[in-house]
Amino acid sequence: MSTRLFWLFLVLVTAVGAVVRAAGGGVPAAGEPHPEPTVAPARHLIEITPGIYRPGNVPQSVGEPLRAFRDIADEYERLHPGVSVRFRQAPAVAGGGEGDWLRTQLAGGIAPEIVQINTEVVWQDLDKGWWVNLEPYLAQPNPYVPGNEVWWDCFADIALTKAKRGPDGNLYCIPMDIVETGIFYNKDVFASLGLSPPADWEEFIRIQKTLKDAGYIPLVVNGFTVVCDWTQDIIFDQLFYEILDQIDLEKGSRDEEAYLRGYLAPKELCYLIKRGFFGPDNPRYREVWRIIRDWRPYWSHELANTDMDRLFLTQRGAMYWSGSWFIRRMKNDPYLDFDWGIFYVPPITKATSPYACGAESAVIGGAGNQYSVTNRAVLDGELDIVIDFLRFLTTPESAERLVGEAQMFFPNVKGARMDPELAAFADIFRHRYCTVKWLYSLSQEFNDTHRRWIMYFVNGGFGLDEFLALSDSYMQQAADYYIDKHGYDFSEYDRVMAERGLSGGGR
Amino acid sequence: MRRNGRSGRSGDGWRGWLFVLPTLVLLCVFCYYPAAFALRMAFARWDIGGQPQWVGAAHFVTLMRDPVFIAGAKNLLRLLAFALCVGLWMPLLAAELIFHAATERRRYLLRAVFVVPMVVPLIVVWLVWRGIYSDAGAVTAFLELVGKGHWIRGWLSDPDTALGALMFVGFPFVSGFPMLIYYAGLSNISESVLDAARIDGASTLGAFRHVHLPMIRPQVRLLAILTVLGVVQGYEAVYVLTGDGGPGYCTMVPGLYMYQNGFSYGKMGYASAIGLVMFVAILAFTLGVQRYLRGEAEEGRGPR
Amino acid sequence: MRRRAASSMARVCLLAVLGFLAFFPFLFMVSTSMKSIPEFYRNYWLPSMHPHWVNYAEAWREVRGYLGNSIVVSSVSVAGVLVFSSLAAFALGRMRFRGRQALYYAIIAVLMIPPILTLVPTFMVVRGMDISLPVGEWAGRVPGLGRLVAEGPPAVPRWAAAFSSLSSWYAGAGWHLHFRLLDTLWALILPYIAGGQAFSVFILTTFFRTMPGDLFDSAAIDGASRLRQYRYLALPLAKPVLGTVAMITALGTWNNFIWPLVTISTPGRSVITTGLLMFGSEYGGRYGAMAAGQVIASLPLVVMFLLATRVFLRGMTAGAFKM
Repeated sequence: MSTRLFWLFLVLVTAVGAVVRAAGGGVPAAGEPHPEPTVAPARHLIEITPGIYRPGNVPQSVGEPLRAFRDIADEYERLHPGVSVRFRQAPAVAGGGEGDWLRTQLAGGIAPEIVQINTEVVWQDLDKGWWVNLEPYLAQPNPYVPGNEVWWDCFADIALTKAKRGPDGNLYCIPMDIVETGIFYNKDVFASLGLSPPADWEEFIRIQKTLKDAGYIPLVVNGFTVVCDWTQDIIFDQLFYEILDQIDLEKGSRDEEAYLRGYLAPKELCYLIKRGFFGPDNPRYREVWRIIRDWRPYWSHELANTDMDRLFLTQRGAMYWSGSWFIRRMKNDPYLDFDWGIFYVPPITKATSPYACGAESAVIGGAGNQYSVTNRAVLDGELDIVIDFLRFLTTPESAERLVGEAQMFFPNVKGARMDPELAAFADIFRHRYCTVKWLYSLSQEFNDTHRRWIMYFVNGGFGLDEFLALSDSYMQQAADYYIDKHGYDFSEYDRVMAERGLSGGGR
Repeated sequence: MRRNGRSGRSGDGWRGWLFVLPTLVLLCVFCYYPAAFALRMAFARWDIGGQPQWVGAAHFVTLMRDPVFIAGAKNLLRLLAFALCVGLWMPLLAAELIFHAATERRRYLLRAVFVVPMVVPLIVVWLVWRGIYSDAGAVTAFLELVGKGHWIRGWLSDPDTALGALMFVGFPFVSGFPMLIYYAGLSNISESVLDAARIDGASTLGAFRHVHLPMIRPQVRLLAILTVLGVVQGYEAVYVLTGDGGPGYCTMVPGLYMYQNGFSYGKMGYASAIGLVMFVAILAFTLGVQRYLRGEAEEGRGPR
Repeated sequence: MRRRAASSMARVCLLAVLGFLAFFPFLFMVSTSMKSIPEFYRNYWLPSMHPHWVNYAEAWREVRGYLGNSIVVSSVSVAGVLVFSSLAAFALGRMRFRGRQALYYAIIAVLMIPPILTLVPTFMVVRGMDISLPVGEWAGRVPGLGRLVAEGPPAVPRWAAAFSSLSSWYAGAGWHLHFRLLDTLWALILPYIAGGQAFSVFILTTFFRTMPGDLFDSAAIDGASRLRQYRYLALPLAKPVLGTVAMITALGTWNNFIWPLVTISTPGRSVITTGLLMFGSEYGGRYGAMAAGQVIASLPLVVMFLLATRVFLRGMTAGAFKM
């Protein structure tokens, strides 16, 4: 009896499935993939994967669904009948699978015309002709901003924008907004213990110790981004700032230098690695990791999988190193019941380490949402329309609406006012940029390896010396690979080093 | 031995092949060819987007000395031992308990309790265990309650506890499918045998050891093989819980290493070499299980 | 008597504990699906006092376009697996021909190949099944097909686009017919059917082998062809085992998310697992809506399992899983 029922169920379910499918609910098809257009379309369709700003998205799952982008698109459609703008969502697969999905689409020429993606990813595939070089268009005026002569002038932070140029010197993205990190702290908890935001590192550690003794998690962090990426970049910068002038062997272009003063580009980094600046014999580099290891006891225990937001919001964590995006949650969470504030990582002084110099901490944030144009615009003959739409988007009114609604970033368009809640982050962003972004300079394999061993070291797997020895060995390998791949010639650097009287190890 | 006169039919010949044909075609196109291609790549250096260059057995030599792979293999042996000692038997416990339930309706409901959770996807399981291992989670709360707060650590971050924490995910290790298989095996035992045991005054435990266990040997063998297959090939749980194989190589497994080489670093040739080694390992384990748990002599008993 | 009662008590307790622990993830999924994220952060484990039904509305909106596709892909795959593998298993289990044993082992060996390894090569195979034929040109030379040249084949209705591997377009000298596997549901179904063969043949062959030989012999004597034997003897007896296989295949095809992600690029054509991926996010996942989506996605499976366990068990007692 139930056998018959079972088969009946199977048939019924298939039939239902077919009907549901035919009813065509849900996402409309994006249009037939190329190369088979049956009739030349009378309308132009622009597709965008806008990331966070996608209409209907509820970022951080708090607040109202976003709609600014849809409004802006509607306005554009009104101005240009015959153009239709549609938004899509890119799948977010754990581990950055988004890049894989996108590459499949690009290879097939069916990617959306405008894509939100970190421009560093774009740089990896420049030779494939998938991305449109925006330089020529940036030299032209933006018709939507009265009095504008050159599109470049529309950007608030031109230095940052120019620093987003790829290795070939061309800009492939429009950085709409800026993101920055900061330490959120629970004012109520601080008040109850008589604490206030620290002025220097020593005070910072003392505060954390007090918090820990009182039973709180002093600083909530996660392993993947905060520990391996941010911590390393900031503390390295703090301890190497003194000698930055000496080891910065090649100044960037004038534009880059305005934003990336003293930045160690991958080529410089490889050279310095080969010359032993970051090996176990360099006490300055050693100090970086000693400080990080000594900091560990004040972090959350579980670094692999922390649900950080939860720890801070339920007041188990007194401080939380997050970023401007968290403002949205803090402003919109209906259950929030404590007073909070923001401060930035305090400078390290000679009291903590002889290599410190008390310089103000560097910034590790930068461009947030970056919109690039894909080969689809070219294939469909819509490039002019797409560029025009981007110009429309970068007017002060549009940018203010778009970025302000989300309350997660501050706009990179001149004249667009930022959300007042984000003022603290804008202040932080005025600091200088960090010396090097370790996990964005060499290969993916290096990143994975480095993260792996940082986590092992930080969790007590082995000691400082072992870690430095191991780290040196794979850094050398990564540098060799990178040098080989790009065929670097270091004769110029050798000359500069000799001039400055530097030997390896940069004491 | 031919008993029931086959009326001289010598064999089905081409008809047999005809029946198997659709399966064979599908397998050739979508399984054998890709597998052969992948396994051939084990002997080449092939980075995605480039051309393969033949390097013979170079990958295998590297593999034998590769600390990542060796660490992964060691972890795999530990995981396998755990799965075969604990994971293989917990479903049996559940099946036994259900088997002894009073009414058929109760038995059906109990079976449903263990079968329905099969639909829960890995992401949700991850959420559950993240909530348990987190600083604000169940384990921490419990330890603080019993005054052992100093034992608290990052369970998945600490090199000492990472693998153990990983193994423990999936507690109580009663999955629906194995439980059903054991249950069916138990249902298969004929009433007469069970009655005989009861009449002889066997206790529940005695009946279990001397009657049930031997009679469900085939099921145990089947599940042992499936367990080996699952554990050796598995990597999604590790990927979701620790992202990259834990602090250092504490939770690294060969499956994850293969995935990383193939998809993150684009070293398809090396990944294929790892796959080939895994294939051989699975084959070896399976044959081992077959031999160790040999029950009735099924081999050679063909159709009649 | 007292010992009986005590041990029975112990049994009940143990079963209750095990059952609760095993069932817990499912309860967690349902309870999370009814919470808003702020509430989820405050109240992780216990069910919500104010159910946030909006999660279901949100999830349904994301998922509804895919649900139909998933159902169809799984059902067709299951049907395909059952039909082809039962034929093969019957041959391997009951017929005699040269190379039978070797063939059986060859098919089983497929189970031992790690699936990640074959992901890229299989993708290449599927991508390679892409042929364009300039039909118009040829048809023009054949009398009577003039109309086809002029008007071309009928357009594929939109709802069928996901299934249609054939499409056509006009270019220059006439109509072209395009056969393509990638980006259609067949790119999912065919590999699923192929992949399911090994496991299914594994189980079904042993089952067919243990059937009493007399049954088939008497049928043979009565003049029944092998095909008739298969259809009217073997299949009806195997119904429960087929139910087993159906259940496991359905589960496998339903939850697979890597393969659809890689082969289907048009969003409207994908399956539910891809839809559910949309709930992950860099800045904090929408766990409530995600759980709601998972609940919706698992409902058909749950119902199928509940029905099938009855059937499955009968399949087990009929000796399916002897080795």
